[in-house]
Amino acid sequence: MIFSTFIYLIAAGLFVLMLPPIKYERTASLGIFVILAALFANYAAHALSGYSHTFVYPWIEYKDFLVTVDLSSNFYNYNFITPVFLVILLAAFSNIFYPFEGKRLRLAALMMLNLAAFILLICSQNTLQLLISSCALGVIGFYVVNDFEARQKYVYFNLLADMGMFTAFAILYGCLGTTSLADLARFKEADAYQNFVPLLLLFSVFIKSGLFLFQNMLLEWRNINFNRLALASFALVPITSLAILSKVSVVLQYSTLAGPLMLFFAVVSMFWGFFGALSQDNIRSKALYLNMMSFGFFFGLLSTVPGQIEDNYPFLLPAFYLINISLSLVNIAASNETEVSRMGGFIRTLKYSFLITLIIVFADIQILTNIIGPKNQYWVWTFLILQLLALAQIYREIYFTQIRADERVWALLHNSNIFSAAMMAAFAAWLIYKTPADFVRTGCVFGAFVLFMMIAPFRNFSSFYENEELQSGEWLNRIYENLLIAPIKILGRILWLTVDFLFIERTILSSLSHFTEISVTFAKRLQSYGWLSYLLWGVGGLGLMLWLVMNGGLGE
Amino acid sequence: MSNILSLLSTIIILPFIGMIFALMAKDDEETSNHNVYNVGIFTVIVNLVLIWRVFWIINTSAPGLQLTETFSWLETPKIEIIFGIDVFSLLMIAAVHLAFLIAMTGVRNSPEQPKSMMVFALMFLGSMTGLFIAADIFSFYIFFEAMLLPLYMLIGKFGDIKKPVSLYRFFLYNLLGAVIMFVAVIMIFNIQSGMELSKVRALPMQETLQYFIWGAVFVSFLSRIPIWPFHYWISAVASGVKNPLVFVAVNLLPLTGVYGFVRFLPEVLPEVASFYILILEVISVITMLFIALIALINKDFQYKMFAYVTVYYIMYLLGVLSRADLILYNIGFSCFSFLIIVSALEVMSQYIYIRQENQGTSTPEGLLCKTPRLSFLYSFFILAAVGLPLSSLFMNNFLLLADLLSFNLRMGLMVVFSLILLAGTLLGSLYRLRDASKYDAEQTEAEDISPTLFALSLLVVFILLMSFIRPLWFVVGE
Repeated sequence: MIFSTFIYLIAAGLFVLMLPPIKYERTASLGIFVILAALFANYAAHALSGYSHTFVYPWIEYKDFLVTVDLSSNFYNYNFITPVFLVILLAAFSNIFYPFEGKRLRLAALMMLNLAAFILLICSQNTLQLLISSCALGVIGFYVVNDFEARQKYVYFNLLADMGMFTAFAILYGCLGTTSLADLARFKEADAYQNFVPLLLLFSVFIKSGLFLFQNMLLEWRNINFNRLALASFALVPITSLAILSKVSVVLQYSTLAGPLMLFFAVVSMFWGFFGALSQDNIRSKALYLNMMSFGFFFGLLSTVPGQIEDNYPFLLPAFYLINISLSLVNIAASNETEVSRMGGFIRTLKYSFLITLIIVFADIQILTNIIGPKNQYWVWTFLILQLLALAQIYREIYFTQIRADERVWALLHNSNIFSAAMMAAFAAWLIYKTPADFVRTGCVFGAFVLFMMIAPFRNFSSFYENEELQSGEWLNRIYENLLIAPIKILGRILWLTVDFLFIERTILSSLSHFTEISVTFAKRLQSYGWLSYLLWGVGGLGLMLWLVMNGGLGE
Repeated sequence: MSNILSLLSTIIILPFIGMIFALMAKDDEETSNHNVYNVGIFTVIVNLVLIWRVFWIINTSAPGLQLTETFSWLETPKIEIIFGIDVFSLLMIAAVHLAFLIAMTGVRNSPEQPKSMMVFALMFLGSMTGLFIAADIFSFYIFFEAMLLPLYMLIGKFGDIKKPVSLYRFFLYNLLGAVIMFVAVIMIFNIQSGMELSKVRALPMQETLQYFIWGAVFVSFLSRIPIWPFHYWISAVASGVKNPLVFVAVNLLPLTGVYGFVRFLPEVLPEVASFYILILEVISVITMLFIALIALINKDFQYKMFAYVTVYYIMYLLGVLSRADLILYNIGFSCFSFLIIVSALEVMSQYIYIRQENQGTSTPEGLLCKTPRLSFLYSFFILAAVGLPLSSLFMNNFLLLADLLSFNLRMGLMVVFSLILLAGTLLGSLYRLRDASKYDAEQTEAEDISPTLFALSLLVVFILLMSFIRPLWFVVGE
């Protein structure tokens, strides 16, 4: 089943990608959404019936090196693929109506390929399939992120992360002699690099997730449109990293440093994301910081309770995706206005959008409170409170407070497309319906959220909107530039100038050249017809004869 | 003499026959010098068909040389010329031919004297092929030396070298290596008249003599590889060359050094030699880092390509020094894609260079924005070059690095770091070429590559992708 879905997606994706630009892109995108929905219906029917099927293709069979391609249908794979499938389905639907998308059809094709690559990643049973699918997702992400500056950072960050993973998997293969993920449990027996490999893997997934210190790649996505931003955040690289981490989590267990490090980065990222979401003026930056919080939360969940993420994963991802969509609705309604400081009072016109936002927040609370268990309760509550505080502040500034929008934006302010908004609301309602409910608890938390919106305890953070340095985020670029890139470049220049130019060209080559010149002059002088030359040759010849005689030379 | 025209000897001779035809080709204004190119391209294609045939005949999973051909040259002293092939050397021959074919299409419209270019290129190709087929020390030495002459002529006439003095140094440096090799050959011949390469590897020798002979052999091979501090001559020449065919030829020279190590490295190393091998490994890693760092700051794309080629050759050398059978197998597959990628990238960059000159701009930044076909191909080859799963480089580099990392973690990590720097360098150059903000809309629109060349390049893309899926995909039943 998963195999056939994979093949259909690849075929349809490549076909659509190769199509020339057509006039009716919106209609074609609708057609693609219908195909995706049909595939999902078929997929969901099989998943719910517990259908399982093993597909293993022996790909490479060298003497001691066997690699297979796995695309088996089983519970684990369904569990992981479903949320991304849902996110892509929603993104494909948004793509039909999203007004600021220039290449609708191409994006739809990328979504299908994205899903196919993600299926390949989730079904991996060996590190090579994992790497290949991760690289494929990286390349697809490159095309989804269609802003030039964002792409540059995306390429370099991804390169570092992929090379880190590549190295870690190569070391694991060197130690274990196999690429099988099932054999990673033998890593402890190898008794080598017990900290190095896990830390390298963590370093790679942190970069891909855009956690604290590595958020530069993620934050540059503020320049791409909301539909692409949400897709890239919840169906591409950051989610890939979580899936990879889950696949190789057994390796992390043997490291004494991996757990604490993961927890540290998770906590810092969550708080950093929280303050970023409050202090950034750009609505897309706010969404990205909220996403950063979510990724931090995922990592924290994984570090506190191993395995927890798998059981509750399916609904968390679409819920966080919907939060992005709730901000996207405002952005569309305000004619692509991005600055929250130029919004306010939107409730007067955007009543339906606000209602949908409330449903989405309710679904989010419902899903998060539903995963609370004895081991993760502090973690989930902390995240939930921080997330709601940030969201309350953001929604308050958009929908309430005084009107700050310019005349054009205010005049054109309208609720976004009814179909798209209704679909998101229906999906959020479905999430609420599907989640086992403690409505009293959810209701109380939702009440707290409304209270936060009214009192806005962090409203002073809006003063940071005036701070150019903070808003541009250039300070982080400068840190990277000064601490990492500049020293490497300076080293390269020094080596070039000192070793290549000064040492080899000016010292060795010049010396050799001068030495040859002097030798030639000396030889010329020796062979001149002067009396000194005769004397020198004569003395030299006699000396040679003498040396040979003394060493028993010259025959008997 | 077993058979005057056996398959392997035919493969060696064909480029030389092509060379004679190229010399005789009639070219005037009417034919626009295309006759001689057609001869060159036809020769390479015919030889590729023969090489394909050999792949079908040999047992690709069997070790050792196959299809051995022996020719008696002299009775006193008894010298026999032996040819033989295994999967590794056959892959190298196929890759060199494909690289040449791609490079030849890149210089098809070159205004320079095409006849002499093709003649020397075919001569060089014949010598390279002979080197990979040689199974005795004499023919190995002859081909090892013979390729220097056409190479010198190619660089001298078409290389567009800014500093002619570096060309002389480069030639002298290589000649010195060859003379040292000659001394070693004579000494080996004095010990045992049986000159098969496989026997030379296990030749019993006195300890002192052993060091001298192996030292001489290794120094001669190292003279071909841009190892620090001798990288200078090669970098000065390689980074100056603008003609893709000459660039490919120059950058095939280090392959002969690496291949020499494959064929000559003793099965059991003497203890002291292990120490020297360690020093060689350390110097190799330093060179990789050194060149990768310089490539990062150097704006010249040719230097970046030279750095890329050098780092990969040194990585292959480190793999060869580890002397694991599986690694050798992987180096063959990896190198196959590597040579094709280098050649294709060089042709593309030449194309960009010409477009830039036609537009009269100082930098080619943003040039790919308006040339979708060129942009697709260039991006593909750069992504394949940095090691994405688009060619056999990916899988085989994985195994190679796994071996290097398990052999010595620090060394392996430095290799990885060099590869990252290089990948960053290449991606940076791609980024600049696609930078829409740098593209001047006022300029005349850059011309994209022709549909014919695009179709041919797609064939190269197909070959690379297939090499990723199955390295020996073109052999039935593999």
